[in-house]
Amino acid sequence: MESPERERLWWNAGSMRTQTDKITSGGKRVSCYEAVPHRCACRIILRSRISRVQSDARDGDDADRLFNSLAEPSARNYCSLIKGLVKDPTSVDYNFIDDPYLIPRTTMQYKWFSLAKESGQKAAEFFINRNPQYFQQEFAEPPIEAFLPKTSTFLIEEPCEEALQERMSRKALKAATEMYFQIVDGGGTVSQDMTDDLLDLLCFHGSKDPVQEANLLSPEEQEYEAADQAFRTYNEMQQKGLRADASTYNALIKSVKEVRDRYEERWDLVQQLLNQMRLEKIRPTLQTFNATLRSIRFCGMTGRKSCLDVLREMAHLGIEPSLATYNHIMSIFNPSNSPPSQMLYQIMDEVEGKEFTIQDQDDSRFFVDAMNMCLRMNDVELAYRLHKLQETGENWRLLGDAYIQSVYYGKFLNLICQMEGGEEMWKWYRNLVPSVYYPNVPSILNILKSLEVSNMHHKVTDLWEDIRSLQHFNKQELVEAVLEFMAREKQSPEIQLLFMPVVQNIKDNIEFYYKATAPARRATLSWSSESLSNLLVLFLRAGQLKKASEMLPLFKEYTKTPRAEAMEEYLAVCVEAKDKAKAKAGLSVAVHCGLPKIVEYAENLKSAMTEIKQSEIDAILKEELGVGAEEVKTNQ
Amino acid sequence: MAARHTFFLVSSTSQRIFSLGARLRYVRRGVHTAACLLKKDSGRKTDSSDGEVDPRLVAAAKDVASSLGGGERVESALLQQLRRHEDTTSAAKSAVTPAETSADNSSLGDLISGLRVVQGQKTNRNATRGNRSEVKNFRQEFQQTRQTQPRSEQVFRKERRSLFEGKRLGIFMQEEVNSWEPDAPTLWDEEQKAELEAQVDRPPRNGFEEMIQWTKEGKMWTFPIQNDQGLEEEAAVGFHEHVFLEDLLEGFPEKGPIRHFMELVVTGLSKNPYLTLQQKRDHVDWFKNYFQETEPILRASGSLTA
Repeated sequence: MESPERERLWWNAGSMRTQTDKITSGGKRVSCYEAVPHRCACRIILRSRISRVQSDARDGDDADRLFNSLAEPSARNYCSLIKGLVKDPTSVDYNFIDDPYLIPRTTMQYKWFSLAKESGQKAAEFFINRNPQYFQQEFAEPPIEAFLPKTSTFLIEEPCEEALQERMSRKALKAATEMYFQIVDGGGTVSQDMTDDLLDLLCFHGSKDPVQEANLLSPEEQEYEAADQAFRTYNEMQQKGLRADASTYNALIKSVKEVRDRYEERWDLVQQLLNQMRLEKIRPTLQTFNATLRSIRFCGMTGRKSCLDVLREMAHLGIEPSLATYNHIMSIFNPSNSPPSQMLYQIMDEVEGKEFTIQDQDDSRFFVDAMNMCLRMNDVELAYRLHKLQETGENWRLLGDAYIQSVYYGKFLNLICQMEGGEEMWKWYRNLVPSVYYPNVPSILNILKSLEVSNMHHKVTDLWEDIRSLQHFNKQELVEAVLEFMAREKQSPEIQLLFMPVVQNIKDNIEFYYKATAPARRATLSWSSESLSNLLVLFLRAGQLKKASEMLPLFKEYTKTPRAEAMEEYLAVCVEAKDKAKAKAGLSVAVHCGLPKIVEYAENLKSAMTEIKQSEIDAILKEELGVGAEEVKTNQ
Repeated sequence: MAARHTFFLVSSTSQRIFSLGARLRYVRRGVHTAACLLKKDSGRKTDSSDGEVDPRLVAAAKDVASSLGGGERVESALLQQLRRHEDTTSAAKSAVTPAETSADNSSLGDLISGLRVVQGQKTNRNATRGNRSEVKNFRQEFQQTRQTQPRSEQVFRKERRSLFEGKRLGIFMQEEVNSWEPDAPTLWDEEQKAELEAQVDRPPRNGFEEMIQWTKEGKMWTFPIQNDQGLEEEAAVGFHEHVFLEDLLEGFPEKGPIRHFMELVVTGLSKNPYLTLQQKRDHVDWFKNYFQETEPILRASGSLTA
């Protein structure tokens, strides 16, 4: 018999997916806190493009198997369940599954929407903490602290050390400093440890430290780029005989490049510091060696010789290198102005299959720098190995923030476009876009190139859909490249017909932008002679002579010159279709734009189409040339 | 465009043939297109009488052809290829410029068919020296990674160990380092660790991870469900302390309505599973307090006698 006060969130197994009738464990109650949305069961059916997004439809099969195994007590391990789930490239991030309208389509949207979600949660917390009097009723027994407002008042009010401790443990820095001053002004003393802790907190979070203590730790100053001052303080400490700790030394080693200029001097200083550590019997940590390697990056060839020595020192002391270590080593052996070395192969051999956790702030640079190296070396196999490493275990967390991730995937896709054939590239493209990567314009240009090389022109419809959803449809360079891609070679009739929706869409887009009133908007997308010629040709090849002839006035209107081949193709099609009016229109455009082979065209037309008389041709010539002459006259 | 190259295959005779056979598909098409591309002399046959192929190779080629099942065509193609190699080697040996000879056709054909460059063949080292510059140019022009990879794998399999083998920095000794006490983690270290964790903290990728997070935050039951979750202190209190509450009645009068009332209260409390022991005691204490405060009124109304 359940007590109503004992309500909490029940794992609504029914909400996970539709085939939950087999579930035996867990009830089906929905608590008052959370109507678990049927996010996992909802299918997002919009346009054909988005219908690929079937949230958890893939997961459904896995989870079904996993749920059945839940009945056995041995399998109730969440972590092993999760490791069995394979990432679904056709679905979006779990954050955005609720609302299909809010599925991000570009990098900016991704950032906005994730931040929006977080900020909504923060706003709710803020509201609850601001008005705690309305949120006092406890629905659950025992109460869930996470749902209750956080008390902003402290328990202990009088100035004493416990009060200071309390404020520090809650990271309330301002209150802690005030309390500290209260104690000191009131004549009390604060223990050394407490003061040190307070200093640590303050310096870490960046506020100014008004109190100067004898053994002020210099890492704090490190953080705020006062390297000289830090070294001076360090020297003072040495003189006074005070022992610095490992993080101090780490910070000092990191900032060696600021205080010395020449390579040898830097390396000497680093070695001095390390020796000093040994004398003071301070145990070096992973961060020490990472800091050493980081400084070696700025030591040129002198440092390069000793780089692997440091690594072996680490191994000798039994310290497991982290990804930051390997990152530094790779960068040391691959300076940007020299051809890439083979160090990455060795590193990959070492690192393959291992799982890493974050231990150093430079860990998250490893994957993107390594991918950069693969790109420089043009080695796609190595890139695959790197990608596999990133998928091992929890290594994906070390990919870095959204920006670094986009750089990583951009370089990866770039490399695949360059080195692999179109089919393979398309597979990877479908895998990565848009679930983890939103390509930018240069990426898409590479993809187009790769498709062209592999003669995969039929993919342009899918690609154009993606371009539209990525909001790149109004980028001049891209639009021209797509038109060029379609028009460069004559394709089979089916493919030409396939191009038509894309072509029409592009034309409509450009015309739309011409109608825009604001000049900035108007300048986004314009006609150019290439784009007009390509459109002309594409309409022709799809058998739409009428639409093609509608393009002709645009040449005159925007004073663009058609390509000679385009004009020839147009005239040939007119001849075949025996359309006199269109042929004449074409000829007049040719004359107007001053194409070199006008006479030839005229002769061909006359011979091919007997309906056209010389007089008509002469009329055209006269008109156009006359117009030209008039323009010349008026300009004079 | 006329690059002069010499291509050699490492390893023994029959292996050579088999590897040739494996690439036969590409070779054949490649040879065909290469020949078409360079068609100066359309009717030219490429089997010249200059190159003599080792009879053992010929026999091996026959074996391969029969095993692959291609028959005559396979065999002739293999032999053609072998003869072409012989041509180029002999031409290079004699340092005659093979500009117009079939070697040019063949080398380009091999180029397009994707045969590998493997250096270090002893027999033809003299030949390679002469052509080394061209080989380098070729590399830079085409940059085929498939060619660099086997080299790197071979060369660096032996170097792989050397990442961790070799001389050390020599500053720290393991024994003495292990004897030093590591410093206790200061608040600084903890803050730094927290900052790093925050970098790696990502929103949950699926419903399971979300549920894990909620369980950690205390918003969700832990499974298998314990009804007493969150009430662990209560579990330490035995049921007899909840049920046998008669000793709480000690401060009250022995008879009368108050006693009667308190007995009912105590019975009710003993049946109440929702209050902690302390709450029950407080409850009874409150009554005690109340009755003490209102003693004059009770005496006046007659509920308290004596």
